Amino acid sequence: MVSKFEKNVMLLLLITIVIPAIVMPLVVFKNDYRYHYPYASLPITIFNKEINEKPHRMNLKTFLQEKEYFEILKYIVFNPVISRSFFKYIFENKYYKKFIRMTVETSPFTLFNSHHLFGLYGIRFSMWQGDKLLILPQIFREDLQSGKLTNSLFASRHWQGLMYPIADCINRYSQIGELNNQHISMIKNILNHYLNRNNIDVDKITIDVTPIYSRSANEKINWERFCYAKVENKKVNGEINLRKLNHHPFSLHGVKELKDKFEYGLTYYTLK
Amino acid sequence: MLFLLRIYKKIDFYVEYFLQLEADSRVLSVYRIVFSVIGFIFIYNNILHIDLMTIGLESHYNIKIYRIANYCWLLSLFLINMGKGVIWFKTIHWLLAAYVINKSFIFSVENYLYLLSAFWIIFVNINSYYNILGQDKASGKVKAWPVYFFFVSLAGNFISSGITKLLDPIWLHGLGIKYFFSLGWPSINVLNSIAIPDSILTFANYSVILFEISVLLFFLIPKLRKISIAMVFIFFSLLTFPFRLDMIGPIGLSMCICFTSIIRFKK
Repeated sequence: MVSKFEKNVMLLLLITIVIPAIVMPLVVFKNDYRYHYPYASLPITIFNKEINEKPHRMNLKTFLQEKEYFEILKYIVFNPVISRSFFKYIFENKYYKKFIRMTVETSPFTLFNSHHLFGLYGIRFSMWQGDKLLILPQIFREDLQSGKLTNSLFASRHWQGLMYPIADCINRYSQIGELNNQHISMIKNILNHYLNRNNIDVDKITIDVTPIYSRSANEKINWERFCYAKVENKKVNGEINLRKLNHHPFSLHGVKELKDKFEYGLTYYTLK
Repeated sequence: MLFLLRIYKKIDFYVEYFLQLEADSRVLSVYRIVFSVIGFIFIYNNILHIDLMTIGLESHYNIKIYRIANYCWLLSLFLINMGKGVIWFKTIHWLLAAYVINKSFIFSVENYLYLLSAFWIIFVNINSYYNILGQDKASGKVKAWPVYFFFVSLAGNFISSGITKLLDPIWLHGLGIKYFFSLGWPSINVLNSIAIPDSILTFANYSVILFEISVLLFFLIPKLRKISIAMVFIFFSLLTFPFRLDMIGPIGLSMCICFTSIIRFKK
């Protein structure tokens, strides 16, 4: 016997969670591509008012004209009335947004799209006593395999997850030449966490990075120093020195391979 | 008017039918135990990295609340594991998980999968068997509709993932899997030393897209439902081994146990 209450709950869940979980990712393209923007994936910011949407909409239009995949998608994407109504009345509602953040993902899943493959950096922390290296880097090994911190079946992805915020800082710094206080304090916190986990006395801690896609075509892996900081009492308290990188994910083999086929802009999402 | 009434009755009939579908409660009880064991590891990792996770929480007070929430979350999961998972405990567990995960500095797919599981188990009866407290009487069948919704919510993400891949230049040109292998860190070391022919990688590339787009479609067709669940199982198995997307694979595999509860095998 089915109770009326159960029926109502089921219908409510269907309307508020299950249907949006399928429909929303198909109609809303979220700008989540800071690391490589706008090169990598073409699901482009259409609804984000913070950036100029026109060139991106045109990009997508050209792309879809070449490959006639989704007629319906095309209609939704190029019809601002429908798309904006969705966005304005449902998706932008703050309570609904909060609720959906606690349940399902309503933005497109982009796992291992171009931004994962080209837009990130391998990270190595090194701890120094004078010129002597005390702790070897452990997130990624020399050859970009998983290091000790991440290499076990039930290890957390927290360390590898640091690729994203650090890559963001590298890309911003390499392009603009400065980072705001929030970014600096974030790097400090990351370094302090690493120092805390190792708990030894050192003079200096550094972060070396390499574009994460380097192995194909026997390309050399170039570890470059992105930042170094002095350590006192097992903590980074003072200034952090940053360096612009010579190597950049876009200069690598994979992207060159695609350059003849696609002509996209290679500018990053600018710092506000 | 009569026409609308007829449509309403038809919809109502199907809704009633859907609500009466049953799942295997023994399998769901196994799911409860596997999910909670993996959940313990997940929360333990979070507690271990609490300094990292609280980056961005400026006040000391917020950090304290975050820390307490982690321990309460662990406790609620323990109660669920024991079979004490009445709806209120499961709701508290979900709310704590949502709080901690949304406040964390790093958000990755495993967090999302955990949150999704934590939400849908509220509606699933997972306490019928292996219940230490022995509160619920064992019944062979329980309501299946939350499990269906659970699967569809996950499959929605697969579809969007497949479509973003279709719009992605490297995946469109059959290079996605090739570059994925090139990364090194997402797979076991042995796999990195084997030279896999490009043709196989290109085939795998398009298979992934096809899989991601067809999972939901297959699930909606009753005769293909088993294939759809098997596809998800294979996918998460591969993410556990030989690929090394730690915690995404194990949490995904635990979900697959839940999904198998709606498969009716012929005796």
